Amino acid sequence: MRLAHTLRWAGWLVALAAAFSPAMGQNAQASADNGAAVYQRYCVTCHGAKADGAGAAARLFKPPPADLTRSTRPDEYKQLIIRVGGEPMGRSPGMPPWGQELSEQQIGDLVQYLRTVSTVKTVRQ
Amino acid sequence: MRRSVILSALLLSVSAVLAASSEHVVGQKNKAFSAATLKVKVGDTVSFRNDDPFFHNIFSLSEVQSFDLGSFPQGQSRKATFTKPGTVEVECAIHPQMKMVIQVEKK
Repeated sequence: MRLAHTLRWAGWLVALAAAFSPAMGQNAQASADNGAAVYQRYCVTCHGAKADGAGAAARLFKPPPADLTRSTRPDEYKQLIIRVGGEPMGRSPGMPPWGQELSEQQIGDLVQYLRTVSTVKTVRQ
Repeated sequence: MRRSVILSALLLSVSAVLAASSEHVVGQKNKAFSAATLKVKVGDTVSFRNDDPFFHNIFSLSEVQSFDLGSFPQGQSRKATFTKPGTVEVECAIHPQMKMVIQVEKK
C-alpha cells in the first residue's frame, strides 16, 4: 500500500518533469543564444570565435586568454570572474571586469552559452 | 671664447627642446574617445585618461604597433609611446564601439 502510494507520487513527479523539461530546455537554449551574442560582441577578440583562447588579441597577453572549451570551473566561478575581472581572482589581469558593462542577465546568458561550447566536465570546488 | 661656448650651449638646448617628444592626452568620456583622430610624431606619448565612472581597457592590434594598456578606473591614465610611423587603430576592449585612429608621423 505504502509502496503503491510512493510509486504514484513518483509517477506524478516524472510526468511533471517531462511536462516542464522542454520549456526549461527552450529557456536554456534562448539564454545560450543571447549569451552567444554577448560573447560575439565582448569576448571574441580575446577568447576567439571557437572560445579556445585564440582570439585576434591573444598575442598581446601572457598568459594567453583562457581556452573556455576546456574550463572545468563551475558556473558560479565563471560568473564571478566575468563580473570582477581576472586580477582579483588571482588570474590574468588581462581579463577586464565586466560587471559595470554587462547586466546580471547578460552574464548569466554568457555562462549558459559557455556550457554549450565546453568539451569537459565541470569540477566542483 | 666664453661667449661662443655659451652660445653653443644655448643652441644645443634649443635644438634638444625642439627634438623632444610631446605628450598628448586623449580622454574617455561617455564611452567615447575625446578625439576620433590624432596626429603625433614618432617618439610621442599619448596618455589615455579615463573620465568615465567605469573601467576602460585601451588596446591596439595594429601592425604598426600593438599594445594593451589593461583595465583602469575613473581618474586614472595609461600611456603608450609610439615608436614607428604609420596608422594605429585604438580601441576599448570593454566598449567595442569605442574606436580612434592615431596617425604617427616621422619626426
